[in-house]
Amino acid sequence: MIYLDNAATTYPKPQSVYRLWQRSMNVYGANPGRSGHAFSVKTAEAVYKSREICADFFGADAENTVFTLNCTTALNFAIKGAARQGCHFVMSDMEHNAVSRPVYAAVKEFGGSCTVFETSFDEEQTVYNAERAITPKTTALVCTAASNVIGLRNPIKELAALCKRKNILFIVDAAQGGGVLPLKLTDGINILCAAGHKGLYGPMGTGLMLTDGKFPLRTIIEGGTGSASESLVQPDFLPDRFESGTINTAGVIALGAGVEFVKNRTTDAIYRHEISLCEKFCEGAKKLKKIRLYNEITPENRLLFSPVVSFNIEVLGSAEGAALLSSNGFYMRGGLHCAPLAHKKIGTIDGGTIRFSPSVFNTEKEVFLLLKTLAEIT
Amino acid sequence: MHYTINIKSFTAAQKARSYLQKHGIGCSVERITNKGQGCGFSLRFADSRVGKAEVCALLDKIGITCDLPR
Repeated sequence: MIYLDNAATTYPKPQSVYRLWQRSMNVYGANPGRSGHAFSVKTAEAVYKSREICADFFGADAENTVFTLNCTTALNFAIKGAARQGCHFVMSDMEHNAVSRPVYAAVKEFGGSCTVFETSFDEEQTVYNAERAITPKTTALVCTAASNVIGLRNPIKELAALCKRKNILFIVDAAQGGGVLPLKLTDGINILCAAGHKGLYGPMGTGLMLTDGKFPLRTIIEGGTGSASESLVQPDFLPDRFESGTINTAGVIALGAGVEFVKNRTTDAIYRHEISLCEKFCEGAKKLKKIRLYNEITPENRLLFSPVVSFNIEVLGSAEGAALLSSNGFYMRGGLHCAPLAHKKIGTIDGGTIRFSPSVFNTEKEVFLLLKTLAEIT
Repeated sequence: MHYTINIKSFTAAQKARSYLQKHGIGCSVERITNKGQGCGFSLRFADSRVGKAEVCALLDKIGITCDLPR
């Protein structure tokens, strides 16, 4: 098996993650932050350690680092939490449904509206388009750090500066960028939402919402937090405000090991390895007559992209193509990748694409094997 | 000196504990239940060479207020 579906979830995980994940089920088996006994406190301390690691990685404060079930939950907390009567959201034309659906639900509920701005390979043009979409009524600009379909990166620092100038909330979907791109709250991002199980190499069922605390959010889920428990009102302090119910304790503790792994390897080295594999894939695939590439990554344009490549095998639909590759031992995802806006943008809304997405554990040899197989089956 | 400082959440308590440790001040995090406030957390200082006022001044630097009414 050659696994190249890391944009869906990274596999394998680092050995340190497996070890801590398994150990956590035994050694940190009590409910954290709920009881006063030593077992619970020990577990809560391990959760806190992971929280500190994640906070430090993204330049956040530990208290403003919320563990969620996944990036989608984090985005729902941020988007719906910011929504109010007559709200206006601005989002890019590459958004995943994890952004677009909560935005559409929020504007429907609150009688608001949404404007989609066009992204470009020219960063200045992207910022210009975003600025034109902002109105005096705009509540927030929400955008992905990088497209999960074609890897196109958004100019996050420049968009952050724009939002600061306009005094609007800036929410970044770092599902694809987290662990691969240099993303920090200190770059002006107000709320960063990340998946724990992708570029951060943590277990599935983990995610993060990190905030600079400048924009208060309403809650969409209330419940037990182990704190201020006599009050019927949800606590107003973080992270408790957004951590109702028992968290995925073993998962979030192991997530800390994943983030440590990335920190030690460095996002820059991971990016360079993965983008280089994408370049090798593109270089070989473009020589194959029946392969169509939708984002050709080259050494010259690599900085515009995060490491994913969309392609199709001529005549075959993306699902058929992905199934054919699966039967040959290569695991990639075909379809719309839950990002219809991005597929509309590149003209593949009807059939989708096959997505090549390497991780730090993939090798050049695996890419050459894939190219060899593509040459044989096309 | 023996005293306790109430903290609103476990995360804040742990952050306070880590910060104080870096300043050579030891304490433990305990779960408490206060009448009218419900469950919460406190920092317990046993045989501390540093007084409560000094500790509170340090915690204030990291945005943690001592004995917040919860």
